[in-house]
Amino acid sequence: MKYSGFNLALQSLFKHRGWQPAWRAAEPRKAYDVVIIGGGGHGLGAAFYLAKYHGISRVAVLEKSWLGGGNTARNTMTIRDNFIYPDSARFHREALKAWRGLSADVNFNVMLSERGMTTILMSDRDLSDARRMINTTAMFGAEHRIIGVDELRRRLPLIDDSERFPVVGGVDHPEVTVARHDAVAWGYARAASRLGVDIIENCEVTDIVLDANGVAGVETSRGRIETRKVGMAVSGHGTQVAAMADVTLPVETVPLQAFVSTPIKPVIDNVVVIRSLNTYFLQTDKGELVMGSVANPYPSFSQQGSSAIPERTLASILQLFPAFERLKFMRQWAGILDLTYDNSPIISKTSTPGFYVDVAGSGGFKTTPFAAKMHADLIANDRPDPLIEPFSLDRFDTGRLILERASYGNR
Amino acid sequence: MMYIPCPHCGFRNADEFIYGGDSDKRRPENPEEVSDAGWSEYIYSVPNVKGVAKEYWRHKRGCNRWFVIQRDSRTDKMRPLVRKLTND
Repeated sequence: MKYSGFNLALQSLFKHRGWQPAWRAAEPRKAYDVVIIGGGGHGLGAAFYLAKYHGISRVAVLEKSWLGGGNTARNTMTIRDNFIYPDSARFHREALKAWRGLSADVNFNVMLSERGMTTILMSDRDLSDARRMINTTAMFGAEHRIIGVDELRRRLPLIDDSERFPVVGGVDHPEVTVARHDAVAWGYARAASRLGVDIIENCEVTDIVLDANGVAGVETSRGRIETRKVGMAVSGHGTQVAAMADVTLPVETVPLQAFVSTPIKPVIDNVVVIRSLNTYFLQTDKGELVMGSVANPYPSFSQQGSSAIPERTLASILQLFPAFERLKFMRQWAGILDLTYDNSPIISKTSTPGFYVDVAGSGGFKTTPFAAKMHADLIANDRPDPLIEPFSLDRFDTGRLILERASYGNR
Repeated sequence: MMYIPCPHCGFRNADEFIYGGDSDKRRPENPEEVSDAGWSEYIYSVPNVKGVAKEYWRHKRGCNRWFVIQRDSRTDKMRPLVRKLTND
């Protein structure tokens, strides 16, 4: 049933008893054209676009636990395009644009809110880095601009820089967007399911079956499934899953943390980034402040992360926003990322025919619709779109790295 | 809070230490004989073990010495020391 104002009114006449589950709980079939490993935003999105744009609906999404329970549920929902290198500036620009119209595309409100972002600059170096970013991204149509101290103070009246480290200016990023992260997974799942994609939860891939022609199928905790094409869209365990297909990924598993305060009345309407202190925060619709910082100083699968990170992050924020001193923490969490040496994602074919990867997003929520579209295109046509060619696996052999310092994963 | 048993200073806050990578990773004996792909694998790929691995750690904000210790990457629990290393 389509989600619409008409159907909402209609259902209200029947006490809302007529709504159907958002997606079918499918049983695994014997064979599929494409199997996607990982039921987060990226995996479900790839399945949806395969069915929608490439006419391949014999697709299964295998998720080892519940749908959208990994990093899709553990992120700070910011969609930004302030990257420094042309390849990744172009990529993230396309990624930001790909969010527009997503709600209508999947007929599910992902609560996209173009609330903008403000970067606080505290040194001449910050300023020259910001100018460089603005010039690079302008080539691809992005609209960032430098703002003066006065305008910065008008936007963020809570700034108090009288103690130390005076602010020297800011950057206005009007197009930065936030979205309801869980709704992205649910929306894609519902839309893909309606197009015939099988979404199979609690189904862990235990092995990838290979023959002389490449991928022949997958072994799962719910039996064997035959397929010639596997798309991997996992985070944290990319190394382990790719190893099943005899592929070595140059990634390391590192936790990235975020923290949430108790809800308060609206105090900021932007995402706020403190450039030199590697910290950012935003206020959710519920009123909580969501804060984050850099990746963990050591790799780990533990989904906990070092306690030094919250301490430093909070100290940094309180330095400039002493008004938050009395706020209480509600929760802290860490998602585990696959990080590459150059902090850029890998969307690529591999040395094993029929095995494709979309990994190492380094805070990959922001690229979900675009990466999923490109991944689906790669799986369907077996060749990368020019926009993702620079993000192939062979960049580590050719040395053409995209050493992106603007990602969360930056260490 | 994670504590790391420094062989010289005893249990100290993990914040004082620097992670130095997997100690099982070896630089190729004869770099000139290694293929490009092999060299790229040495530089960019890490074992990324899920479980117990031997790792270099350095007590940077303490005695500043390196050592090799075992850590379980699923829980971050430290296992007994493998060996001390000197700085020189």
